[in-house]
Parts: sequence; C-alpha cells; structure tokens
Amino acid sequence: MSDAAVQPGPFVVEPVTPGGLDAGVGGAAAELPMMTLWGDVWRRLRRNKLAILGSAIILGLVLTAALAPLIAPYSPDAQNLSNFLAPPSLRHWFGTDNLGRDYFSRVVYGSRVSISIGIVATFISVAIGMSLGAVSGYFGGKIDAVVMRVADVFFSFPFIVGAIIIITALGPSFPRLLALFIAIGVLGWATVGRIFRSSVLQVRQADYVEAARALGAGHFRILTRHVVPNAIAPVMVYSTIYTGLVILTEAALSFLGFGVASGTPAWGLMVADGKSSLTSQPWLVLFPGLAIVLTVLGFIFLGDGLRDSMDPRLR
Amino acid sequence: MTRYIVRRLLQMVLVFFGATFLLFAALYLLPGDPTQALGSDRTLAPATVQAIRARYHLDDPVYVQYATYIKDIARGDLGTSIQLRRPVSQIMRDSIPWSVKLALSATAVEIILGIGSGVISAIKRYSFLDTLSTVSTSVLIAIPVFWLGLMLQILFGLKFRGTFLGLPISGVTDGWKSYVLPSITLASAVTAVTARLTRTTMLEVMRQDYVRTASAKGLSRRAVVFKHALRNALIPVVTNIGLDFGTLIGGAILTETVYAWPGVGRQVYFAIIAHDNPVIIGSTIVFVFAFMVVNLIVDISYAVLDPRIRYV
Repeated sequence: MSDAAVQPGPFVVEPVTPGGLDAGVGGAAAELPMMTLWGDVWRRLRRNKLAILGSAIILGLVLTAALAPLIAPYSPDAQNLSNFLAPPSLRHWFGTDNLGRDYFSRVVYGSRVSISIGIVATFISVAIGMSLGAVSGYFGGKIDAVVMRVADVFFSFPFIVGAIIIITALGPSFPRLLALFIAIGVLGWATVGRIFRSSVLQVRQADYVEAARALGAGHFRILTRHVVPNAIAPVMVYSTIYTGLVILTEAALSFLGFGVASGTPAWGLMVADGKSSLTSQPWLVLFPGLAIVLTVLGFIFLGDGLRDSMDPRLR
Repeated sequence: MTRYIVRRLLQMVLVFFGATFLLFAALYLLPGDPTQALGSDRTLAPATVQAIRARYHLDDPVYVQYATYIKDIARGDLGTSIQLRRPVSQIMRDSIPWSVKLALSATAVEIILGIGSGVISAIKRYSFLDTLSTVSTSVLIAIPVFWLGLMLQILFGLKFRGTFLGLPISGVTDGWKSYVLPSITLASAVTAVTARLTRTTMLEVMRQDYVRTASAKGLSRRAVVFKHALRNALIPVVTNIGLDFGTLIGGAILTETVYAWPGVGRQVYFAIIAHDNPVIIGSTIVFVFAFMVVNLIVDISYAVLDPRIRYV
C-alpha cells in the first residue's frame, strides 16, 4: 500500500512524530544546560500523573506475578468440593469456582500468564519490527518495497484469525505458552515496522547522519549509533501501548479456547469458563475481566504519558 | 492518478497472492485431519476416508493444491465445505451481508460518538468533559471485547429484562433491536481511537493561521469550529474510519461469537474448530479482500477530496 496513508492497525493510537523530542528541548535546554534529551523526557515523565498511575499499576502487577505464592491466600489449584461456587465473602474475597478453588488466588496467579505473554510477545514483535523497519527505511529502494509488501500481507490478515491459525498449526503437543509467544509476536511486527520505518526515514536525512557517513562510518555503525537511538521514541510509545494490546489478544485467544491449556489460571480462560454460569455466578466473569481492564489500562496510561513527555505539543 | 491506481492494483494482487499462500501453507501444516472431524467420535472406514481425501484433493502436494485452488477462485469457485457439505461461496453469500450490516452499524456508532466526543474534547480542552473523555477512551480500549459483550448481556438481557431497556442478547431475529448491543460492542475500541484522533487533529487545525483569520474577521465561534476547523480536521479522521471498516469486518470474530451473530467471523470460528479448511480459507480471503478494497477506496477518495495530495 502507499505511503500516502499509513494505516493504523486495529487499535493504533495516535502516532508520535519523531523529532518531536527536539521540539520541546530548546527552551528547557537554555535554563538547564546539563539536561540531556532523555533526562528531559524523564523529568517530564515524573510530573505526568497519568504516567505515574500507569507505572504504579504495572509495578503492582509485576510484583503480584512475582510474589503470587505470598499474596494468594490459597493454592490456585486447591479444590474444595464442599464449598464450590461460593459467592464473594471475607474468607474467599472473589468467591470460589465450580471446583471450589479460591477465585482470588486464581486471579492473582492469572497475572503470571498475562505478564509473561505481554513481555515476551511484545519483545518478539518489537525486535522483528525494528530490525525490518530500520533496514527498510535506511536502505530504501527494492529492500524497502519488499519489506513493506510483506508488512501489507501481515496487515491484511485479521490478527485473531491469523493467531488462531498459527497456534493450531503448531499443534496440540506444542507448549501452549510458547505457541502464544510465537503467534502474537510474529503477527504483530508489521505496525512496529511501519512506525519505525517512517521515523528512520526522517532521521536518515539529518545532518549528523551525513556527518557520520562523511567521517567514514559504516552502515552498521550509522544505524546502531546514530539512526536507531534518534528514531526510537515513537516505537517506545507504541510498544508500551502494544503490550496492553498483546495482553488483550492473549485473553481473547484463551477465551475462544486457543490460548493456554484448560485448567491454567489465566484471565481470558476464567472468563470463558465462568460464561456458562453468567446469570447465577456473575463474579466468575466479573473479576478476571476487571483484572484485564486494569492491567491494560496501566500500559495505556504509561504509553500516553510517555508520548506527552516526548512530544509536549501533542497534549 | 491512473498510474497510481494501476500501481496500487498491482500491489494488491501481490499482497493477495502472498496472503493466500501463507494461509495455505499454514493450513497444510495443520495436524488435525478433516476426515476425522467429519466422523466425529466414530472411526470412518479406510475406504471412505480414502474417497473423501481423493474428492477434496487432500493427497496432492501443497503447491498443486494451491495452484488448483487459485484456478478455482478465478472461476468464482471457493470450494466446498467439508463440514457443512455446501459450496463455500454459498456460505459466504449468506454470511457476508450480516457482517457488512454489523460493520456498518458499528461504523455509525463510531462516527456519532467518536467524532462527537473528540470535537467536544478539543473545543473544551482541559475541561471536565475533556478529562472524562480521555479517561473513558482509555478504558474503552482496555476492555476486552468479549468481556464487554458478556457484561452488556448481563445488564440489558438480564437486569433490564422486561423494561424498555431490555434488549435481545443473541441472534438476529428481533429486527433493529438485535443490532444495538453487538454494534456497541464491536465499535467500542475503534470509537475510542476515533475520539482521540479527532481531538488531536482538531487541536492541531485550530492552531492554523486560517482558523485565526476566520476568528479575526468576526465569524461566530460555531462557524469557525464547524466550517473551518472541523471540515479540515475530518480528512484524517474519515480516512481512519474508512480503514477501520475493513478491520471491523475481520475483527468481528469475538463479537459474532459472543452474540451468535451469523456473520463471517462466527463462520470462521466454527470452521477452525472443525478443521474445515475450505471455509477457513474462503472467509480469510473475504477478510483480506475487504481490507484491501476498503484501503484502496480510502486512498483514492483521499486524493479526490484533498487537492493538496498528489499521487505519482
């Protein structure tokens, strides 16, 4: 597709322009001569309430996942068949499920699946997207055309359908978590690739890149030392929000029955299992859903805060 | 312009072949056997399995199957569903209209709520309404579509049942009322993105010189906002809404599953469970095609509507 219309993926939030970094720095640099580019971003980020809130949510979630055995009052798999489908109470904050398992403990353990998918799949998408986007934007020409057509192919697939096909293709004996990493990670690179390509295109023409080339720097050095660090801001914002979208996608896949193995404490799966008793035990659907919303919200808040700190004009 | 369109069409053909081949290769690797799903829990006689495999060309190498398939598509033949024993093109003819109708009504929600709240946010910047809209768009993006669907079903199907707010929660048998909950559910995320985009572009346009000029020559605030600012801010917004339409058709698998909506998304979901490859490929081709055509139309209308954009 043409460059004229950069199409966002299903959920793309407004892009940040690269170079926006410099726009806000001029004034601040005059009074604070020691302030570096990232120091300036950091200073603004600390004052951004939304970013603080987002970071707090994410930090809380990571701690919950890491310290799950300490936080959860019961084992997530301990069954108590004499007390199944109990409504929320002081003993069982979120009630119990159809096997009498403590639902709060299961929600706590569910953070582990979401967090690991969020981190690993995002890392895969960003690694592929940044490498291909950098090569595509920096070298241009035929390489660019080929990479962008491949990106178009990935774009034209509905994300969930594509992920389901990859997961089923990997087979039932393939570790489910690994299948999710691969499916989501591989499918999501196209948006990162496009965003990074367009910022590389802008940075490539900068004088300091020209200067480095004149000094005899090779392509690899120019890319890693000059182009990538200066073009990375928009991708950082997007990948923060994208982590939230990855967690949403995992939940959706687990809900449809193509995610983690049944019985695993994972939020999407818990919503799917609770769906059958939606009318009589609505809390079985309510709590894992709220956990997803809160988690994704944390990443969106942090991403928005990052964008505002990097490019204050967009506020 | 003509050159641009021709180039775009050629690119579309390339993407189309790339997408269908990837799909074909992935499905070829699928471990499950469609003949097994057909027999459900019974074991079919080897001769029957052999006959079915021969009839659907399941024993040919993957590239031969692909070439055969492309030839068939060119003739408008999408194959036959193994599970439903009906031509896939017929299944698609039945389900595409439902997906398009759902996508259209979701787009209506997106236009009204998304642009509306975006404009209000921009002209009342930093007000209570602006903050409310910023927070609620974030929440809307963070809500899982399937969970929102279930929550709306509890609320409108159960709590409000019998009152005037009670709404049907599945199927399409209740006329326009059947559309309300699925459209809202499907539109939730795109509406939030449109609201954010409208706000950003409105704020950007309102800083332009011609908007200041319009204010300076004494035009009313209303005329400035709607005639000068909004009309120009709408260009990227409308583009985005157009592109969303392609996404809405392909992205409806969750909404259609939750609401038992007889569209392509639900069809592909059942097909994947049953290893019904012809239906999976047929529906995905519909998604890919819808996405590409919508993209092309949006890009071309972009050039027609905005004379500043020149394509070479």
